[in-house]
Amino acid sequence: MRIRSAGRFAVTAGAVALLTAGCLSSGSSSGGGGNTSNSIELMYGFTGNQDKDFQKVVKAWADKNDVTIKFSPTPDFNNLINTKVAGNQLPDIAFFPQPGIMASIAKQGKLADLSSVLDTADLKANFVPGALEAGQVDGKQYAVLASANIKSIVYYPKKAAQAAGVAAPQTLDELMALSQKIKATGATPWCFGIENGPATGWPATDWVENLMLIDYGSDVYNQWVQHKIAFNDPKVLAVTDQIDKLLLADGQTNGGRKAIASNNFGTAGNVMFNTPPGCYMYRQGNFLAQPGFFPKNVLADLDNQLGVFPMPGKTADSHPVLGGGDMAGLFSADNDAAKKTMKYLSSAEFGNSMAPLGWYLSARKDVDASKYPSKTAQQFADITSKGTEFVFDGSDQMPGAVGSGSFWKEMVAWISGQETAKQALDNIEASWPK
Amino acid sequence: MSSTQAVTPVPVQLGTDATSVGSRTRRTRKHDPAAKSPMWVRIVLVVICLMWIIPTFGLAMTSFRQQDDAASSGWWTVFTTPANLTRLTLQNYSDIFTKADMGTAFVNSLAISIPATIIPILIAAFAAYAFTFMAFPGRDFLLIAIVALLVVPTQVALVPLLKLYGQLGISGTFLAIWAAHIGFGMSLAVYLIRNYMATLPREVIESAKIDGASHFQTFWRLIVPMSTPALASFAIFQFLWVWNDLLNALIFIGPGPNQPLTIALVSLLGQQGQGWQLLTAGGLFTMILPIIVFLSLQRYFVRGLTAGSVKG
Repeated sequence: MRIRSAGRFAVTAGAVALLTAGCLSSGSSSGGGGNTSNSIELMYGFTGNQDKDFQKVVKAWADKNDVTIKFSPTPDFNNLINTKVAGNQLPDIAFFPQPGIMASIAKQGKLADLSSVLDTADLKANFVPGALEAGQVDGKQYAVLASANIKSIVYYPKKAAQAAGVAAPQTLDELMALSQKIKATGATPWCFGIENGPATGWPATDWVENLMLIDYGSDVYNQWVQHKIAFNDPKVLAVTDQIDKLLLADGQTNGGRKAIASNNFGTAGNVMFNTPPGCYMYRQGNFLAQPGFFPKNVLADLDNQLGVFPMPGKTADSHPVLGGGDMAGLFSADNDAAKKTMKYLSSAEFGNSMAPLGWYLSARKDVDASKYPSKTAQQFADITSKGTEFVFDGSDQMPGAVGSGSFWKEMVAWISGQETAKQALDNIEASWPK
Repeated sequence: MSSTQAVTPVPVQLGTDATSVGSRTRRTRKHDPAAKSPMWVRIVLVVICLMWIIPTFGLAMTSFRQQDDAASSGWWTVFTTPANLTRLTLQNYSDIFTKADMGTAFVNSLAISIPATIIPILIAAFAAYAFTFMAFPGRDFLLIAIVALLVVPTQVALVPLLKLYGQLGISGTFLAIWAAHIGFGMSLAVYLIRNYMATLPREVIESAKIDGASHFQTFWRLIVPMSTPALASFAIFQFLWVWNDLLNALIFIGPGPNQPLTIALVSLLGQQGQGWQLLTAGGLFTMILPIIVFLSLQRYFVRGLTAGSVKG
C-alpha cells in the first residue's frame, strides 16, 4: 500500500481527473519525446533517505557507463505522472508504485514493451513467481518490479517470545492455535492499528488480502482483485470471520477493538517491547523494520530484539507472499542510454548494490543474500525468494474508488463496530465502478 | 481607519466644552470601537483563537521532542511531567537542513514568490488605472472579460501550460512558475485594484490634469500612494498563495535544485510515512515568513479587504 500517494490523493484528484480526461485527445506520441541523448530522466515516488541512497547507487553505475541521469524524486507520484503523460512531458524511465496506474498508461501506448529490451528468459528464471505478472498488461511485459516489499510478515519481540515459548507457526491453523495459547496465559496476542490520517484503514485491507491469499490461493485472489468474483462473495465473508476471531474478539488485540481505528499503523507494534509485552505479534510490511517506526533501542539491536516469521500458508508447503513495490517502466523505447539503464535496474547487479542499504528488498532470487546488512533483512529476502507465489497488494490494483476509497472507509466502519462485516462488504461491492 | 480618526479627537475636547460633553459621549457610545464588546463575543473569540493556537502550539512542542517520545506520549506530557523538559532536542531542526536542504528551498521559495507577487501587482495597477480613469472603446467589455476569467481555476490549464513550456524549453525553470502564477493572479488583481481605484475622488485626478500632469505622473504620484491598502492586501493574498502552493510547483518545477519549500517539506516524508517527526520542524520553518509578512502588512488587510467591495 502506497500510503502517502493515496493520502494526498484527495488534494489534486478532482483537478487531475478533469484534465487527464480532457486533454488526452491531442498528440499520439509513442513516448519519450524523442530524447536521443545519453542524458535521461528517472522519475520515482520515494523520497527522503531512500531517495538519497538510491541516487548514490545509480549514480555510481551511471558514471561508469556513460549515462547522465536526472533524478526526479516525486511526492504525489500517481497524480503527477498522469499530468505529465497528458502534457507529453515524459520522463525516460518511471518507477510505478501501483500497477493500476502503470497499466492505464501502458494502454495509452506510452510505455515500451520490454520483451525487446530485456532478456525475458533471464527474468523468468530469476524473479520470484508472480512478480513479473504484476508488470504485465494483456500478456506484454511493460514494467519490472525493481524494488519489492512484502507484507505477509509477523513481527514479534524475540526475547519475550522465547521466554513464553512462542514458536513460528507453520500453518494458519497453528497461528490460530498460537494466538489462543498466548491468550490463555493472560497476555494479549496481537497488536493492530489502522490509523494513517486520511488513508486510515489500509492496514486492515492488507489483512483481508493476506488471508484471502492464504485461504484460497493466488488464482481466486486475483479474480477477487479483478472483480471477477464479487467483493462480498461468501469467501470474503469467511475471511472477515477469521479476522473477527483472530483480532477483534475480546482480549485478542492490545487496547481492544475500539482502539484499532485510532492506533497508528507505524507505532502500534511498539508496545511489543514493553515489559511485559503489550502484545506478542504484529503483522505489517517489511518497511516497518527501517528507522522511523520501532523505538531507537530496538533498532540499535534489531537482530536480537526483533523476531520475524512469515504469515504461514494453509499447509506447511505453501508460502504465498503478499507484497508490492516499485515497478520500473520505460517510456523512451528508442533511447540507448535509457534501455541500458532499464537493463541495469532489472539486474541482479542493481539488487546487489542496493541490498546493503537495509530498506531495499529485491524480487530477484539470485541477489546475494549476504549483501543484506542484518539478519532481519536477510530473513525478508529469504521469505521473498522462498515464496511459492507472489501477489501484488490488491487495493493498489483495484480502481481508486475502491482501493483507496470505500475499501478503507468500510474497513474502519466495520472494525470500529459501526457496521457488520456483511454490511461493509456489501457497501464496497456497491461502490465498485460499473 | 477614517472612523477611528473621527472618534479619537473626542476625549481631547471634553475639558474645553463641558456643555456638549453629555450629548457627545452619549452619541459616541454607540459607535465607539473601544467600547466593551458583549461577553459572548469575547468568549467566542477566545474559543476560536484557542482552536487555532492549541494545535499549532502542539506542533511546536512536538518539533522539539525526540521521535520515540512523540510516538509514545502526547506533547502536553512535557508540562505534566517536568522531567520530560530535559529530553527536548533541536535534532529535528538540524535534520531538516542536513537531510533535505531546506535552506536552498527557502531561497527558491523567495525567488518564486517575490517576482510572482510584485509583477502582477505592477501590471494590474497599470491596467486598473486604465480601466478606471481612461476612456477607450471596448473598456467595459474588456473589464467584464477579465472579471469573468476569475472563475477559471489554475488546474484546468496545467496540462496545456505544461505542453507549452515543454515546447519553449522552460519547463522546470523559475520562469515557468512565475508565468503561471502571474497569469492566474492577474484577474483577481485587476478586479480588486480597479474597484478600489473607482472609490478614489475624481476631483484629485481632474485637478492633476488641469495642472498638466500626464497619465503616467498621475498614476505614480497620486494613484499608487492612494491605493496602498488595495495593493498591500492583494500582495498578502498573492504572496501567501504562491508561498503555500504545492500543485503548480510540483508540475512546473518539480523536485530538484529549483524546488521550493513546499516540495522540500513533503519530500521529508518517506514513502511509508517515516520521517514524520521532521515535518513538525519543517512545517514551523515554512510558517515563519508568511507570519512575518502577515503581521507586517496586517494593518492594510482589513481595510484592503473591504476596499474594493463597496463603492462610495
